[in-house]
Amino acid sequence: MGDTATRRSSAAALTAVFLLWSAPGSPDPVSRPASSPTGVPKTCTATLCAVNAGARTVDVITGIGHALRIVRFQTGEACLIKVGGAVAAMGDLKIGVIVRIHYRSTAGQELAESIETLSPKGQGG
Amino acid sequence: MMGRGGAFRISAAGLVLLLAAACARSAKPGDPLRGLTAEQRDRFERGREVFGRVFTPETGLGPLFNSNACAECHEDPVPGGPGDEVELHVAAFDPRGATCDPLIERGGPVIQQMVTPALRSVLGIDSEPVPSAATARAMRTTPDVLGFGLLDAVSDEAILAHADADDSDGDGISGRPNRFFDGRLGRFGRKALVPTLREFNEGAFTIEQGVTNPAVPTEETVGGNPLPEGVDPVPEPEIGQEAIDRADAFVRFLAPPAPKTFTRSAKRGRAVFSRIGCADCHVPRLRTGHHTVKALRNKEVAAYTDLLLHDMGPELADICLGLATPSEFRTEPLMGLRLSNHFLHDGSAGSIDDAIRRHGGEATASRDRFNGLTDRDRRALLEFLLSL
Repeated sequence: MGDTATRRSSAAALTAVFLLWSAPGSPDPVSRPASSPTGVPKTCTATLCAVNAGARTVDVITGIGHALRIVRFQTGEACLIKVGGAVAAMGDLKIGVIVRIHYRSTAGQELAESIETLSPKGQGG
Repeated sequence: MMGRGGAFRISAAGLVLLLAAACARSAKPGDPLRGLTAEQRDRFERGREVFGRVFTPETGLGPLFNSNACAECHEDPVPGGPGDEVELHVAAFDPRGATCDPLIERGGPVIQQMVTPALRSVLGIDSEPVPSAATARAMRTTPDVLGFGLLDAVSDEAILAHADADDSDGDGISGRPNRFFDGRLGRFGRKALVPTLREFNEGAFTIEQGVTNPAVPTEETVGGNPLPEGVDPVPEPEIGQEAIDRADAFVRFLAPPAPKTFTRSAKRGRAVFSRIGCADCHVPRLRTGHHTVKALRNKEVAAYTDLLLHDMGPELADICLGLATPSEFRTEPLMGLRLSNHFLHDGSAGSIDDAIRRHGGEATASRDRFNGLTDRDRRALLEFLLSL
């Protein structure tokens, strides 16, 4: 995916206005609010497309229909990361996996509280 | 032994039944589904207005767009039908890892072909730039969306029942689903990326017309760059939830056009269709599952698609998207086929015959059988397809 820190810098300006709400077990995103008050816990299920351990950010691909968006999440030290159900580090996150991120919107950025991988990127059948 | 009175009653009853059947008119293109409630019919009609609404920059069009109304493209012969507009998609495929980058940060995957005067005056462009990182460009025709509400109501399980990603049955057909970026099974779009009709409609307002809505409240970028100040006068979202709901209801409640009455030759063609293997991917019938709308619930839809990805060979390959490699495409639904005059995903085939002959990959065997048909069987097959 290239130099993630450089390539993703312009995405940061876009990510704050596009949120995807997805309650666990509720795959239809239609019922989600278009935006939520700051601090309200939210969930995003999407495909990981960039990890920047130095900046402590992860980027995911999400969207509606063919209106695709990249959303950047900031992770703090307290962010719980799980890979395959086991506690892991940012460096263990692999591009292309589907992740569920619990986060809150604060001060114009999305702050991830936990990131867990759901499965290898979906295969057929 | 039946007397004259009994025979007359049976004949009269038979006549009544025949008349009743004749009066149950088959759905014409553009008709709503049978069995809608009065409230649903009202939503359908109100949605037709939104579908046909022509947007301007002052009402939310653009600044980047492909059309100024849903019905500008989905138009022939009725709103919801196919159209002759062709649009551009891009992506970057890395064959080493079979990974796909839809080039979102460079404006992809949909590259808008028109801009508003405001954007043109600021940036001096007439369309969104095509990213140099694209490894392929894909042209996409405007499909008809008639009957798509029924496709939306088919369960994931029903679709997966036709999947055979590893070709474990050894028939050369290995349909597999595409999945959206959250893992949900996709079905809409030529690469079957989009899971639901609602999302496809919501996304389309923004990417095709630049009209933001509650589900997609942000404009497309200009090749990955934010819009310049002042070129997008209408605050987001540019249409509200009610309008989106109405447009969705219109599309959802569109009936698939009933096939023309099959002639004897078309019936022969239908048998040929199955015999040479077309029906292995163009599955004649899918069944919808439970749905809150009775008209969509437990219905059989003669869609002639399995909604799965199939490798169509290198000659038809273009972009990747999601899990779909460049040569994989979702089986095109054939319901309403007679309404089109250009075929294949990019409209490059001028006839159904041409489209069939260009099938490759998993369809090679069926294509070869088509090529080996007698003239009579080939004509019969084409007549059948032109009846759909």
